[in-house]
Parts: sequence; C-alpha cells; structure tokens
Amino acid sequence: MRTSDGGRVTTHELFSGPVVVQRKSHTPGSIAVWIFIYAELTEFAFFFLAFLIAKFYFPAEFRDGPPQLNTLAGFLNTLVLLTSSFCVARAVQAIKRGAQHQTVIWLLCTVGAGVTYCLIKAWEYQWNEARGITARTNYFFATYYYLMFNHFLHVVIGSFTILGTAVLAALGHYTVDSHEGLEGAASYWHMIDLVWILIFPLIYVLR
Amino acid sequence: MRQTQQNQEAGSKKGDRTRLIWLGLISLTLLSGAVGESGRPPLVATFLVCLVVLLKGRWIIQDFMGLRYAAPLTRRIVTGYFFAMTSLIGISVGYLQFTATQ
Repeated sequence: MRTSDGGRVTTHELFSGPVVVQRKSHTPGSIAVWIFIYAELTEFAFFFLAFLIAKFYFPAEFRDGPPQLNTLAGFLNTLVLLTSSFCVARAVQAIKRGAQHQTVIWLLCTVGAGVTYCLIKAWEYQWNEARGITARTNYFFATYYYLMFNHFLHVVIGSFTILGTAVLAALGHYTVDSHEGLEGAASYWHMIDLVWILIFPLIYVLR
Repeated sequence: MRQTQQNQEAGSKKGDRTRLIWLGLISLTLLSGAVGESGRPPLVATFLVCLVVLLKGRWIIQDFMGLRYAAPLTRRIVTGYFFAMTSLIGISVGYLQFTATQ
C-alpha cells in the first residue's frame, strides 16, 4: 500500500482519511452559518419524528405507500444531489488554489444540478397526480408531500445561494485567503444533501 | 511560484480523493437500491440500508463538508445528529417490521 505522500489516494486513506502528521484545525464558513445549519437540521429532525410517529399510528398506510411512489425519480434525485455535492466541494478546492474560473464553473454545475433536481421533482409530482395521488390521499402521502415540499424549498433556496456565490466568484470577490462566504454556502448545500440521504431510504426504500 | 505549485499538487490530490468519494457514494446508492428491491427479509434489508446510509453520511460530513479537520464541537454535532437520526429511523422501522411478523 502506498503512503499518503505518493500522490494517489490509497484504499486505506479512502476509508480512514488521509494520513496527516500535523494539521491546523479549520471549520468551513462562519459561526452564523453553522447556527443556521443546526436550526435547519433541527427542523428536519422534527419532520422525521412526525413521519415516524404517523408510521406507528398508521402502519398499513405506510407499508402500502412506498411501492406506489415513483422510485426512479427518488433514485435519480439522489444521484443528482450527490453529484451536486461533489461539484460544490470541487468549487471550494478550486478557490483554495486560486483557480477562479474553475470555481465559477463548478458552482454553475451545482446550480445546474439544483435545477435538474427541481425538474425531476416536478415530473414526480405530475406522475403522482396522473395516478390520483395527492396530499389528501392518506396519512402516508400527506407526510410524504410535507417532507418532500419542504426539502424542495431548501433546494431552491440553496440553488439561489450558490448562484449568488458564483456571481461573486466571477466578480473576484473570493480569493485564496478569503472565501468564508463560499465555504458557508457550500456547507449549507451539503446539509441539504445530507438530509436527502436520510429522506431517500425513509420514504422510498424502507417499508 | 513554489507556493502555487504546492497548492496545485495538494489540490490535485484532494480532487482525486473527492472523485473517489463521489464514485463510492454513487456505488453505495446503487447498492442500497438493490438491497431494497432484493426481496431480503425486511429486518435484514433495513439493517443493511442503515449501514449504507451511515457510511454515505460519514463521507459527506468528513470529506465533502470538510469537517474532518474542523473544530471538534461542530464535527461532533453534525456527526452525532446524523448517527442519531439514522439510528432512530432504523430502530423505529425495524420495530414495526418485527411486530408486523409476530
């Protein structure tokens, strides 16, 4: 197995992280952004709790609900959000080495992924409607729409935020030494992805 | 000049790792979809899916979010939240599946 200095990532490093002897602690973004992220995570925690409580009260509806959903749409959106997280992580890496043009391109790719997510969601809602599924169908679909629409709103807000940082990056607002705003926006976007990783199995996979 | 070269070398290595993590995340998503559709006993499927979710969350928090070298409190709050939520979902769904078979 090659060492971490070899220039390539080893299998050991992939699972346990790069081997670093000494490294200065660095938290991306500002404390204000993190308080906002904690608040958002708390909000989603209450949604998950509400979903699980409803699942306890109406187990039959929650067992029969997921097979009626458009699993392909949920699966595609998972791939899109993971890819968007990759793009925004590359944007942060690019600004750290002073590659302004690449930063803007990666940020615009992230926005593109956000728009793709919204289009897939629109297709999913239309697909549901064509089969007579609405928020009033039963308790499963009521909580499904509540959770989905809330996450959708966060993606829209996140996309506009990332678009704003792309404009600022293009105007040269961020530099190698000063890019806290970009890191904060990226952390918010990763939070949206992180929440979706919980939503996808909860709604579409686990029965 | 030397500083720029060092930055680019470090950036290239980080980019390699980020790309691998992304491929790993995509593979795990395919795996969890396959587990869900495989017709395995629900409790086993739930356990496997939760394991996959935990691994995906760990990669996103530590590598994409960049919290591996962040202040311990920030890292612990986000990691703890994700672990608690996955456990809560896994235990609740598992309990309902278990009682449904009794």
